[in-house]
Amino acid sequence: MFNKDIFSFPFTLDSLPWIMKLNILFVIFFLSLAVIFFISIIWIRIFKIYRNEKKNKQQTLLIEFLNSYLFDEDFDKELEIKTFKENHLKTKLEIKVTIKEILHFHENLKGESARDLETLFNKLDLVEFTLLDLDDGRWFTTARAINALSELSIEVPNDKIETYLNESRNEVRQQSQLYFLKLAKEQPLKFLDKTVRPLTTWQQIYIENALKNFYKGPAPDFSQWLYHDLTSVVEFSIRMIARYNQFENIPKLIPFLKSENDTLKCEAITSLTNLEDTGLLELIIPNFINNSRTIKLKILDAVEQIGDYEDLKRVGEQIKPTEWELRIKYHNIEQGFLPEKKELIYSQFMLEKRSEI
Amino acid sequence: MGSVLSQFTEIASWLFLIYGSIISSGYLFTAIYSLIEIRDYKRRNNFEDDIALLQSLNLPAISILAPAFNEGLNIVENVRSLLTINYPSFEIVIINDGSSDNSMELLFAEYELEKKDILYHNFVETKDIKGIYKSKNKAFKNLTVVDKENGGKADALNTGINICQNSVICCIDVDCILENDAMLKLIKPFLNNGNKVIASGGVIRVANSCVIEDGRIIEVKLPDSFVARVQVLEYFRAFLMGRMAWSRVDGLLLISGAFGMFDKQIVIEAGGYNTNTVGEDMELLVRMRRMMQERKIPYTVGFVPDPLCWTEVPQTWKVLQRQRNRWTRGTAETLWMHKKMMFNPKYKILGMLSTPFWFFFEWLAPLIEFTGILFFIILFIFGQVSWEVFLTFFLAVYSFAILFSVTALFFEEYSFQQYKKPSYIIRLIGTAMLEPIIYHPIVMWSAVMGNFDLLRGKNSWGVMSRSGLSNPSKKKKG
Repeated sequence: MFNKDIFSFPFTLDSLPWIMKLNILFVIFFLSLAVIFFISIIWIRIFKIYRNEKKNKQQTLLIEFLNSYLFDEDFDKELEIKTFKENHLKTKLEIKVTIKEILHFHENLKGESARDLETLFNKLDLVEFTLLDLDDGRWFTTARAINALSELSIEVPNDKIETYLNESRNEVRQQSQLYFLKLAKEQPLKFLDKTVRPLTTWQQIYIENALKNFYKGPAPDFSQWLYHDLTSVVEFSIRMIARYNQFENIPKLIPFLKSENDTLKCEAITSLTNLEDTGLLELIIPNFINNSRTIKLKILDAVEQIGDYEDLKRVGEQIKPTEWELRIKYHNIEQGFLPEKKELIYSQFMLEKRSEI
Repeated sequence: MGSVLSQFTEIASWLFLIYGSIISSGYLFTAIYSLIEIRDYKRRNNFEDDIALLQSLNLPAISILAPAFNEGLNIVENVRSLLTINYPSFEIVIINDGSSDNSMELLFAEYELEKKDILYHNFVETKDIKGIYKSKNKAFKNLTVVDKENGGKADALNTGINICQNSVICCIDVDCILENDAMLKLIKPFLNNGNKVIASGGVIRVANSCVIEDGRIIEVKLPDSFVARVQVLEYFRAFLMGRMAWSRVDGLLLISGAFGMFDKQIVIEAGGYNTNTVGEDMELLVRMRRMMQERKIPYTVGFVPDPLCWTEVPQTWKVLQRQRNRWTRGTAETLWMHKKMMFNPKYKILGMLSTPFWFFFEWLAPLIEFTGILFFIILFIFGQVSWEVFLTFFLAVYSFAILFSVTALFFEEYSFQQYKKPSYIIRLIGTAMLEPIIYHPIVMWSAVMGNFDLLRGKNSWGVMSRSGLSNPSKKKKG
């Protein structure tokens, strides 16, 4: 069946038809690539094993070193730091592992021990390394460097970090925001004045977390950002006013109940509800019908939290029969107000539902 | 006659060559895009640890919807495992889709269920609900069990959507095993994006042969059976190469039905899961995206490269064939329902790239392959086979198949390296070499039969029996 002329030895590629030449070329190309990838897999495996061994070794060494440094009174700090620096901080990997381990220890320690670690970080010349990383130019190295600086409360000139507040990468922006927040003695959110890129919800959660868990100074007056250019910053500020119980700012929140922006309106209703503002329901119930679905749901939430059955009934009159989501919420709240009529409300709703279908 | 045949052969050969070249280039670009995405993801997670956020009360509450049909064997353990999910605020809604086994009785007994009068509305039409149950025990206050008439997976999920309380829903298979931080990772795209995120999906991994304890993967092992082992490679290719790349260009058309998170309101507005297709997961996402494009609302679909969910894959040829048959029908049905999107610039990348890719390279590929085999048989009958050309062509295709799998394996090594034992790599390479000869023809045949069944009007799922995952603690109890 085979054409013996083609495969008679010795044969050259030139003697083959073009389609075979093409196929053979593909075979060689694909198999070569497959072999390269296979070698890469083996190389990655060996490299990772080797690197992990080195990492583990450095980690074990560091755990012993850090424990002695922090808790052993007979430990000759100056001499040991010098020795450690000379012998165990030679490669990039050793430096990276050391930074990571110090950060890890720092995360779990407070007070004097944490301050000791910050001093150690400095004495090991790791700050210089981190600053080199900061200026590296690659976003992930910069973000990592800012992270280390903020975790260990190492101050650098503000303008060095400010440039990253409006970086195109979310991650860099987030780290620089946290840097300013964690290092601030007062006015932890001053960076918001220089922020021109919107805050994502994720960043807002991080900022709030850091504000609660790291910042020790007096809470800022969040109303100063109520007229910020960015909706996300205003939204965050409205929320924080309620979280920090800044009752004095209630009058400043009221105008947002008339905002064209649903996000801000929603946030204002939630915050005023949480602040238990007594005048809120009178402002939002009469106009219930003219709102979007999201706002209507928020108004119902407000009635549930700070209103009574009469308020609920006023809202109920404005709910259309087709607004099922609102109707369900309405009846759920009604059941809460009138627990003795729970079953009756349920059966009435099911009856209405059946008749309308 | 001879010259007509030879002309036909020439044209057909060119067409096969062109198609093969386009498909290879497509895969090459997917690989490049995936590599960039994986590298970026690794860099992103190098310094951040979001676990601390699990303490935060600001994360949105999630409703986890898990349909169950005749899952009596493992339902109690599966629900228990779901209840231990690490996330600040969530509810679990188990939807018993008219099981004929003792699933409900087991749930009643184990979780002390009692009937509750819960108000709901059918935002999406579903089969009738027999009852909604909550636990008397406060330890299980997050659990809601819905007992309903049998209507299929899509119908069960729609019921869950109607009943659940939260605005973010996570649809999962009740027997899948989730990583501890799966919910946090999957919700992140919703909260960390400038555009509205309508859905997000994660990487699914093969749980067969893995050591599982208390609903968590303790040790990742390579499946013992060849069929399951090939699927490990397939999942690498599909998730680490395919979906990563599509996510990079925001062209994802599928979030696996085993594990996906959605914006409930958008799902309802899109009409919920379609009960008339067996590919309800793909169809829903395509419909949601289409709706958003038509409304001209900026949006995106998130994808998380981390292995977040582990599932049991078919271990026998028969079950595998049924599954692939169904997948083919699902793909064809979805593409047909949304044919308007194909090559339609109005739908941007979805119209110009994603749907054509799915049409030509996912749905059409097995049919073209099958036609190629028929073509070869015709040539053989007429004595027109050039065996030298055939041999070199076969080797080219075979070497490409191996390259594709080895590349996916490289991606896995580069990124997550879940299969730690060195012997696993050798076994996977061996599997990759056997796959094109043993496994692929079966899968291709299943796809061809899927199209045939679709034309015949078959729309059932077929029985998807599972062998059950290894659970030492369970074995000990036994």
